[in-house]
Amino acid sequence: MTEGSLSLALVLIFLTPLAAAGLALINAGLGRSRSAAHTMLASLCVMGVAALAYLICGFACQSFSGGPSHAFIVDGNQWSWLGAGPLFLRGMQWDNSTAALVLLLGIFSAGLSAMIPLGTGSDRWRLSASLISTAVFAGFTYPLFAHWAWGGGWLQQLGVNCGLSHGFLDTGGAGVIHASGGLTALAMAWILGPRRGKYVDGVPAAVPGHDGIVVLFGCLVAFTGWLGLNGAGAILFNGATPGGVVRVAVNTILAAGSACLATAAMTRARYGRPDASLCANGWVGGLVASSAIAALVNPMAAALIGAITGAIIAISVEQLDLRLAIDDPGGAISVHGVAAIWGLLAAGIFGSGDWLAQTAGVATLLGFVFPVTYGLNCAINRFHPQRVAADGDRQGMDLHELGAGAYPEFVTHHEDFTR
Amino acid sequence: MAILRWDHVFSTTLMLHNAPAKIPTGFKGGGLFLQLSGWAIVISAFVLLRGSSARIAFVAAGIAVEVLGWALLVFSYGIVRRGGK
Repeated sequence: MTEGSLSLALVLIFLTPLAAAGLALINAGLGRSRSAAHTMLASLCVMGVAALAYLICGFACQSFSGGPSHAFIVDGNQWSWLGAGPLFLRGMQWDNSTAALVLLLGIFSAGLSAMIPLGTGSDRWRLSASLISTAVFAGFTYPLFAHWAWGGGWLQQLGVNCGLSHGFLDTGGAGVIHASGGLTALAMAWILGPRRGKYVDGVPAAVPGHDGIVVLFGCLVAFTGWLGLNGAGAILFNGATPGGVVRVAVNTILAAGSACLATAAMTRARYGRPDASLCANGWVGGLVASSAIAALVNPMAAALIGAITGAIIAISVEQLDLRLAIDDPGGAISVHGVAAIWGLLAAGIFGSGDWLAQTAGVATLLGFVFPVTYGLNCAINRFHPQRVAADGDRQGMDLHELGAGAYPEFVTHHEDFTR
Repeated sequence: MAILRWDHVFSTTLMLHNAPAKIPTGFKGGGLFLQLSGWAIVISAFVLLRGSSARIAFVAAGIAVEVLGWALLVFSYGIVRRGGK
């Protein structure tokens, strides 16, 4: 990797916190007004806890390609299953090397990934419980899969050991960041249960987000962050040149735009007019899918994959709510979990990834990451209940946990209200 | 002048009862066990098998077991939401 590529990667990594900022805005806007400050504060705290957990043991577990790792040998093939770096970043070389850049990207990515379930747990997930869950996620679950997919682990080694092209490819973190976050969101939805009043005799009530403008602005902010995330990932994990990063950026906007348009068309066909919050979900879903494919497919394929993602999102959000009674105010399960898994499979179908290796990665997410994250969060729930008390459900998380609302002067005058 | 607060509107109109979900332990444990078992079959296919067709067959079998695990979890969650045991 050239010095120029590494410098470009560093600049792109500095953009990635904008993805987290956008996600925080989207989560807050799609939740109720009485929990908005709680959601934003939880986002900040989650970023902090994730950074600390990643510093203590996360990066040691993840390691980097060519770095120290634990491995077992079968038939002469080496299978790496856990990074073996020093705890607390001891001995870290602070230079423009691949290891330092992977560490920097990892700190931001772990925070972004841990923030995803906040959208699902909106209005009922206690702040302290979400921080404990984040510490476990960023210190163990996230780095473990990140090692397998990014750090020279067994999924990457499928290429060398089994002759499957380059092995499992996830250059932008669709699996590492989004699918693992989305599956944790599903685990939390099941553990927390739905919001009070969401389902009456099994029929879901509409609980609209409180600020559509914040949600849509969050989409634009997130897009900037995604450009950095996908570009930096392509350089660090796929050896892309600066010219290759241009293609990644083009594919990112094509996937997101096509997904948003497809969701708008789907919702217009189903409900008579486009639904703004679902279109926002479609946009972010397109960004998530682009994380898997942006460095591996041509622009036409990116647009097609994005459009399919948008259609899947529109159906998935509705079906999870109506048929499976899963209360997901931010749509995180569909947007991050379903879209990421589709993107990873699409990279094998339409791109230069090997379909069997991509399937192995998806099977690992569904068959290992989910049960582990579900089990760990159930264990946390046993000694520290994750759901807020009934009073918090009624009052809103702002008043109950923070003592003050996000909008203390947010009142509606009667005449204005009835006019 | 009468003043309406959105907080109050929401809390009075949506004050209905939804208890946190508790998935039956047997179903939950069985579903999670099947998911992990399916993944173990998938990883074994890559580590232990050589032939490509055998490997594909084992990966397909592993994914089928994972799907069974997911179906069990989703089914058990549905039972809870419908208020059954």
